[in-house]
Amino acid sequence: MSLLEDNVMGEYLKKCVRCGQCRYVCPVLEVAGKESASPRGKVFLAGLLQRGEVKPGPQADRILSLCLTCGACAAECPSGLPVDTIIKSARNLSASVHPHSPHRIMQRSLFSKLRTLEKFPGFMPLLRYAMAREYGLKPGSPARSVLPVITSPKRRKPRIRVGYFLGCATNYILPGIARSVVGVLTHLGCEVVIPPTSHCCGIPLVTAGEAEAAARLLEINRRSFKSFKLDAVVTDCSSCSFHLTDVGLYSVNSQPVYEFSEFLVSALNPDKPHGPLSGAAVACHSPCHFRHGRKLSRQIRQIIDIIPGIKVVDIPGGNSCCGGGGTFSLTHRSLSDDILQRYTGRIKSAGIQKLVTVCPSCIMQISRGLRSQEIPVCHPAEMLHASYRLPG
Amino acid sequence: MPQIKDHYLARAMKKILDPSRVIEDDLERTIYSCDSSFLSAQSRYLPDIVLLPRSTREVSEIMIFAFENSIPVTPRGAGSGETCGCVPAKGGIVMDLSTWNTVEEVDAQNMQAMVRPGVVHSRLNEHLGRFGLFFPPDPGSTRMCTIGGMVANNSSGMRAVKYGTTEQYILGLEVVLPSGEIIITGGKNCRSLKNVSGINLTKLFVGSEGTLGVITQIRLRVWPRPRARGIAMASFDKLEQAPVAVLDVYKAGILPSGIEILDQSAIRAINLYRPEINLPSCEAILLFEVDGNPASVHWEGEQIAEIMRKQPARVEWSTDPQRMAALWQGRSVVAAAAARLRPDGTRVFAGEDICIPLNKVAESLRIIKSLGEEYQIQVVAYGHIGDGNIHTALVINPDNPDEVDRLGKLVDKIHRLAIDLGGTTTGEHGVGMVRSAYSLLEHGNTLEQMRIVKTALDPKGIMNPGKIY
Ligand SMILES: Cc1cc2nc3c(=O)[nH]c(=O)nc-3n(C[C@H](O)[C@H](O)[C@H](O)COP(=O)(O)OP(=O)(O)OC[C@H]3O[C@@H](n4cnc5c(N)ncnc54)[C@H](O)[C@@H]3O)c2cc1C
Ligand code: SF4
Ligand code: SF4
Repeated sequence: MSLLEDNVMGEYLKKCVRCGQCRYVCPVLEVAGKESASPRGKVFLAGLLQRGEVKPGPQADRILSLCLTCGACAAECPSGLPVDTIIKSARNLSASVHPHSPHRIMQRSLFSKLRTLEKFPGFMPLLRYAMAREYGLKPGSPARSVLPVITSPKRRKPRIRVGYFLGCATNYILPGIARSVVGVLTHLGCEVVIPPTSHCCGIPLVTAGEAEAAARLLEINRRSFKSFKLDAVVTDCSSCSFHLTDVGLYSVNSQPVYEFSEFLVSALNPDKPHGPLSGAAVACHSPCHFRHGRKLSRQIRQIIDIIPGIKVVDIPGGNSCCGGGGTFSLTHRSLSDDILQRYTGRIKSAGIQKLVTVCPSCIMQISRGLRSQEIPVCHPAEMLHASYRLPG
Repeated sequence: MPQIKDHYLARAMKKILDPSRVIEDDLERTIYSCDSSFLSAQSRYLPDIVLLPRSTREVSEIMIFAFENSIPVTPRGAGSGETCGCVPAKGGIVMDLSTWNTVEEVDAQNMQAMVRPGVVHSRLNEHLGRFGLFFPPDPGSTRMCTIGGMVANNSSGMRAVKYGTTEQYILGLEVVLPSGEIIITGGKNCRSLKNVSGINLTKLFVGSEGTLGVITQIRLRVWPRPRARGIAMASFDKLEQAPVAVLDVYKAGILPSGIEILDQSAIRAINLYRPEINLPSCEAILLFEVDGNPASVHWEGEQIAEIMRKQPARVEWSTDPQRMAALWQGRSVVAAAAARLRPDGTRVFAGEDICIPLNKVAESLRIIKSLGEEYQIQVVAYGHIGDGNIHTALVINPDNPDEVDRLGKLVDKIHRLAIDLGGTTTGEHGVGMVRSAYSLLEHGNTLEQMRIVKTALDPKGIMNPGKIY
């Protein structure tokens, strides 16, 4: 849901009965403990801000920042409040009052101007250095610089023409995922188009309450995709899929912007690969925007299940938020680490050799938590790519 | 708050607790001014400081300091209460106990468990489930309320008909008194399931709403989980038929684990919220839940269905876990779903918990309906009809002062009606601030005896002042 107008927000806020049921599912509350970290507390604060009882400012920002925008609370709320959207909209209230604070300018510039920044000679080396330090990852060249705008299937006529929304984290940090996505989709008969002028989907900006900057990106993205005739749009990242479906990137009969595994299951019905992957017990992690945002559930597993040699194992206690939340893991490192450790503790106890998920940001965060265990975290496209024995 | 400077208080508290568990920030304290009562939404009772203790020693040291300096202390669980119970009426310290949430022991051989106060009810039952056990009281707030809050409010819920209220499952307590002294009640330090040694102080603290001391450890009695469940749903054309049907089931010698009623507007609200539950449209629905072993569940289900058909009512009997979960969930979401009946309105928790003698339930429902019409306020009635505990969800636009005014009058009428019919203003949620005006009416000169007990344990009146008495 895109950010709320003031009056709509007021109507929602009225419906909060302060029952506290949302407390049950909030990963931040679980580690922070205090009521101001709970969804209810932040909704209460949003009400104070909306009614002018409290002025926007650093104090309110600090409380509102205690949120991963995972959406678990919204799925839980019996009164039907879109709690995460309310929190983002409250951040927007604050952003519109203090638009020129240094961190806001920095955040806005970073995500609005990534495509310009990438042209600076120092950008990629700096990113590589930061990623190697933080996650032990060594990103190669950005995916866009090595993948063609249009890739057609080799031996047959395309069944379908697909726009590939290439997310930022995949492009710059995990480009191998993009190669696998293009490889698998073309193997399954799609012609894949990566519009050259597409940008960041805008979710980091919406999350930060930067509604206007996000709207500008959306316009750029709409134009980029409109210039191609496409049957569907697919992305490798469940957060991009959630956000772009929500705001309506490119609606062909209001189709969603498909998440990769969703697209395979619902549109392509992929054939069983022949290449077994060596004896791996694998668990699937469903990212929050996959589960709560897009309300998807079994698609990742359905894809992994067709790969020979793989045994899918449940994570004891089920799926949880990994604590990444985009920039949350940088701004609230200690809380983020606590959330991550609780989760990786359970993942380790599953006795798996690999974890698979559909969000590059989750891949980075969970990799950080599982680094010492040597349990790699990968995207289903990479596993299919390997199992189909595709080149590259 | 008397004589004591805030910074002095904060400094003293940081010597007892890790500073990360001491909250001084204005806004964060403001957020602690509410629970789910409508009164707390309309007023701002701010604590001077919020503390998150995690040991009996910490709680005791806080109380010693508060006692010496006459600072009010209000214990708080999850803040799901509906009475302003955990709201600091006189400022001072709020002790948020919700992060102290360890299940310390499950003694399956002796059918008991030991917990700290912040354990959330449904997490406790998840944990006990691994041992084939459960803690029977089951409030609708299972996913939020803490065991400490349940003990303090003597909470119960949908299965109170058969399993009773929290007090029946408390073997003993550890309590920190207002002076900071730590005491043990009942069988807290022994493992027997029965214990009549000494005056029953456990029962004194159960339901004391945080006004006598801070509950820091709880020994619970737990039960084996029933092997089977079934739900019979009966729909009636006339509201008055439903309470009669309940009595007929009892007369037939059947004790269901839960009997819930939904009136016409509650049915509509659920269907608006979760159309897939698809409740039949009628004046009232009764949900009978039976549990036990598969054979007895089957037999009791058949008997109930037969009794219902004679009313006459239409009956759906189900042992399908999915359908049962949907029906039970429909009942449990109605508290909040009631707001769906009015796009510009919300459900408010006020006058929501009366408990009426079984033979007066039909009459009370009729009167409440006409009171709603008189004050032009939408009333959604549902609740634990099996023990006469009726929840009246009032749906208003809280931004309209005239409606808020009419709401106040209606709530007063509902509370007085309950007392007139030989019932009480509160069956399970408690008194707190919102019903203290009726304490004298309900208890007469016994209220004075309650005050004497309170003063004996809390001579300075620092423990959750402004509530009950
Ligand atoms: C949607 C909804 C449904 C509900 N359904 C039910 C129901 O079916 N049955 C029912 O009985 N109640 C119900 N309630 C009311 C409420 O959930 C219960 O009263 C619950 O037990 C309160 O627990 P809490 O942890 O939220 O306590 P709080 O609201 O935080 O506190 C309640 C009282 O307990 C005191 N207290 C809390 N912890 C301690 C402690 N450790 N030591 C001393 N005092 C303490 C507080 O001072 C306060 O007076 C419902 C509430 C909601 C919002
Ligand atoms: S669950 Fe919904 S209604 Fe209840 S406190 Fe949270 S936001 Fe408010
Ligand atoms: S969106 Fe997630 S992190 Fe944010 S308040 Fe809701 S449950 Fe907590």
